[in-house]
Amino acid sequence: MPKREGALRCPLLPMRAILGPLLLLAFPGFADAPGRLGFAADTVDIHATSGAQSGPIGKLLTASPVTALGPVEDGWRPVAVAGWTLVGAERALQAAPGIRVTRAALGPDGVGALSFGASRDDPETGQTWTRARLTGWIAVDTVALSPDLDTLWRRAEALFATRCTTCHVRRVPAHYTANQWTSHLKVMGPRTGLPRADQALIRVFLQYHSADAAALAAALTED
Amino acid sequence: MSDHKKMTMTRRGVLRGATAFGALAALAPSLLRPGAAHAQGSGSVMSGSHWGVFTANVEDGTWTSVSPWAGDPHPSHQLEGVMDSVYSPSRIKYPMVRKAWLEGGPGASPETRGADDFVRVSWDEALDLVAGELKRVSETYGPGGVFGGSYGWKSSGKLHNCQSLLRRMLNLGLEGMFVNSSGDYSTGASQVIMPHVMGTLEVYEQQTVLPVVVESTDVLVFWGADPIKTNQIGWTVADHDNYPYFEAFKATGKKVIVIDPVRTETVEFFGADHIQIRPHTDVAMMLGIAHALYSEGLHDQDFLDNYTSGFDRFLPYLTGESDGVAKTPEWAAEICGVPAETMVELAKLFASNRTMLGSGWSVQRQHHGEQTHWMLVTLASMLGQIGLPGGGFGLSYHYANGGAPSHNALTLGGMPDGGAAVEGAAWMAEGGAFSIPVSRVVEMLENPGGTLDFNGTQTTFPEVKMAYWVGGNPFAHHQDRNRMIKAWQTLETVVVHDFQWTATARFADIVLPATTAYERNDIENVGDYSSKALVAMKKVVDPVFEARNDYDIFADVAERLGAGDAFTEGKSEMDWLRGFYEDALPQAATFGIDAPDFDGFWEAGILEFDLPEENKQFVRYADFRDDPLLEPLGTPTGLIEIYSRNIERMGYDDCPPHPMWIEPIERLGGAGSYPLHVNTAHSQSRLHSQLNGTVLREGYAVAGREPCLINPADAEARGIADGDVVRVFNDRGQVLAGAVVTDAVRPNVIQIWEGGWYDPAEGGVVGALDAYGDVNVLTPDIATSKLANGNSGHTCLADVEKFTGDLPEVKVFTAPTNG
Repeated sequence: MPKREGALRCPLLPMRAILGPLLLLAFPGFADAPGRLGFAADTVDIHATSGAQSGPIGKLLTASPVTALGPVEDGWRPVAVAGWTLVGAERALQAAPGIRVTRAALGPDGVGALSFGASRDDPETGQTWTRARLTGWIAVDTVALSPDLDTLWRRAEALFATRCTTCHVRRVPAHYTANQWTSHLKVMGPRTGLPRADQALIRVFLQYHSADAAALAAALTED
Repeated sequence: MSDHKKMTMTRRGVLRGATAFGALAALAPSLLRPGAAHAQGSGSVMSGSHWGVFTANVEDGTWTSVSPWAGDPHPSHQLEGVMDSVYSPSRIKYPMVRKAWLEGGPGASPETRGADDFVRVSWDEALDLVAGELKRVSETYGPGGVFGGSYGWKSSGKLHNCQSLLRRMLNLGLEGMFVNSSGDYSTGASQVIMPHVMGTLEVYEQQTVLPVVVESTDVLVFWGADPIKTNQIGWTVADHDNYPYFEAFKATGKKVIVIDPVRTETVEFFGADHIQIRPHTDVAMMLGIAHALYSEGLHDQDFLDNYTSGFDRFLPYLTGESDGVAKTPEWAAEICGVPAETMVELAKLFASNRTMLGSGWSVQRQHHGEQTHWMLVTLASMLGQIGLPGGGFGLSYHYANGGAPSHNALTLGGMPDGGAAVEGAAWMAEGGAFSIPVSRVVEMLENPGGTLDFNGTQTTFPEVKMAYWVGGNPFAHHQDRNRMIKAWQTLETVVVHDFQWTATARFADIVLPATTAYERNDIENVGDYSSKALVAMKKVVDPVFEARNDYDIFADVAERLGAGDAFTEGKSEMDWLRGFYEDALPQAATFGIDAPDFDGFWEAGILEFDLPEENKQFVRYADFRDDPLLEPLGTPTGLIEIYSRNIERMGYDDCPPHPMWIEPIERLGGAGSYPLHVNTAHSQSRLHSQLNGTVLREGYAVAGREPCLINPADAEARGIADGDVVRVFNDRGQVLAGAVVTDAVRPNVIQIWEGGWYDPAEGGVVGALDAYGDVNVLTPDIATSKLANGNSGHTCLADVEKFTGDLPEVKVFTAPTNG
């Protein structure tokens, strides 16, 4: 399916137009310092090497926390995203063990860009989850990052409150788990008529305010 | 027929004068003015409804005939009732206030609610009273004082969505401080259990599409579903696209099996194999089939290993290892009345063919209703065909034409509820906390400050003192009418908008006459799942009597609460419609949809979309089957959860962590002291209670009452003949009905369709005899379980006798004395 950025029909500016300058303003002295760079404000292509020649190895998903590993080189920045992977499903980097708020979705070649840490067995689900860290490069001039999650949530909440109340009563986010919200949005998202990026934003907003909110907040402090 | 026509024409003749009177009322200030042509004089105009797209013919401002849209493959006969609803004698003509309330103030003599003692007031006075009460109750009782969780089948249309409009007014005018509702009466149990089992709602989601079913399904099962009857209607505008596919399936000659206590429309349509199960025992029968599968080694262990979680925890229950009771077909036969050998045959048939287990929602609208679809999913998992073309299970083939392939459509937004203006944290803390499972509303009124267990959380019931109901008829859809009447008496003020004098309106204090969807302009999708078109719902006739649009009513209330501009955003009716359309128009370029501008669309009246070939191939859960790790379900394990640790942790005594047969409070062959099960299925000729107050009733009423289908053996034992008026009763109440003696219903089962208008012989008196036949006078108001708190409207025992007393007149289909 084609990307639906072109379908943005709100009288809002595209996110990049708003958040790009915001990022620069918020982090003027950040050019050389490593550390938390921000949160993906949309899907962000990640590459194995600096430059676009090799093509992306995967995507960082909306609200993924991105850490800078070094200075910008020719418009490209080395970055890392931490998370957890389920044994056998390493192409999806998730926010916390068992809580599938996807931070990065990798192509078959992307798994090689992961480095793995300790594993943890979850007796409840019978699953084994492994600490994992994705490293790669992003094109800083073209990707949208938000300095904080609240900026994203304000926009998400407005979309949720206006677009998810026209067919049914507004749902209480904490009535569902983060995993359930993924499934709900898979069905309900297209019914909003919103661009996919906006649907993804609503989904991750609801996940961060779901029954798993505390665990997700804790996972952010671990990164 | 000629008498009938004469009568309706005469009625319209009378109302034509009334319409002219109504035109005077239209001089009152209105924010909404028709911005486009409609049939003010004579001509024809296209519009849409829950029953489909239609063309209305209008003569001298009166709607005189209706015909279905040429693009409707299977029009509903109910369109005749749609037209008649506009002119029905039960139309609410003026704003009305209950006399005792008007004289004595809020809360005065609540026992006179339902006694039809109303006084006409002006619109200004009515609106002042409503706004004043919202302020008073909110200030006196705080954010829990006003119930705005109004629920029901509001009319089609994106703009005149009275429930969104109500919440918009409350969000903007009362800063969002009101009690909301969650869930619904249709799928209360399933929509809460399924997210634990499948990670998603299931019930309102696209099915493996019917072209695939026609091609690949060998055995099509409808378990407690009557899709031929219920697909007549849609939440948006019905498309009826399922019917040609059902015809095509029938033409293949492949097997259709209907499991239902009643010989349904679907049995007749397909010439299906009919298994007349004892009501309320579906889980036992499913367990019997599951046991046969397992003991014959026909279950798909690979599927269970790779795609499900917890079968090993369920198996000891199935075999009886854990409780000493093997759930054999013989065990099940004792409970469900279906022979054990039939269950064994079904197990073999299902396992050796591509089998689609379609299920309706009746089987979950029962005490412990969560178990039914959980067990159905478990059975489908044992068959191992989920995600294969034409196999697995489906919970929406009977609803809104689920399974009709989706077109490449523009998706329109609609009227937002204004909640974006309410600060998020406050809403999450306050509004969110006051979200009550909708079928617990009577319990809420009875028990302020009490707690409710719900899906792993505990909610405290607020002290609600005012209820505002629009676009719904709780005095039809809620169970245990007499208990409800008593609970309603705790309310100080009840406000209702409607266009007919439903029982809900009659039990209100302030009644505001709303327009029908055919007296205003709107826009709506055609086909909940197919999205095959967008229809301009053009105004057919001018508002009748003093009816006003919900939008205008709420705008005026919001104005009195200081939020008029915020409510309307300064927009007219046509401004909103244009906005919805133009907002969606950029999708046209993205998805290659040929769509005109708004004016072109409005002029054309309907915009039809293309059906891409790939959408005719959709197989539900094919992606999951293909890669369960990268396309996991939304459950903790990402797999189908036959055992749920989350539910286990809740520790509920009425919802165990894997599907089980649990005895309900009453059933045939089980607990309960009455001899007959009351089946409360939908009517063939209305949408719940909608259109009961129209000429359609003349096609089915018996002795002027709601029909009561009864088996010849049961009728004979009671000396009841076809056409007799009977009294149906239990400890909860009593209703009159007209006997239809037929073997379509199983012995010991009677059927009274839900949605008959409550018509107490003594208005407002708890326990009064219902003269017409509202079956929810008889049903219990109990939650399915602590997990979902759904309603249990299909759990009901009663007895029936020939009625020999003085026959009370049916009065509910005309206006109250002063109305």
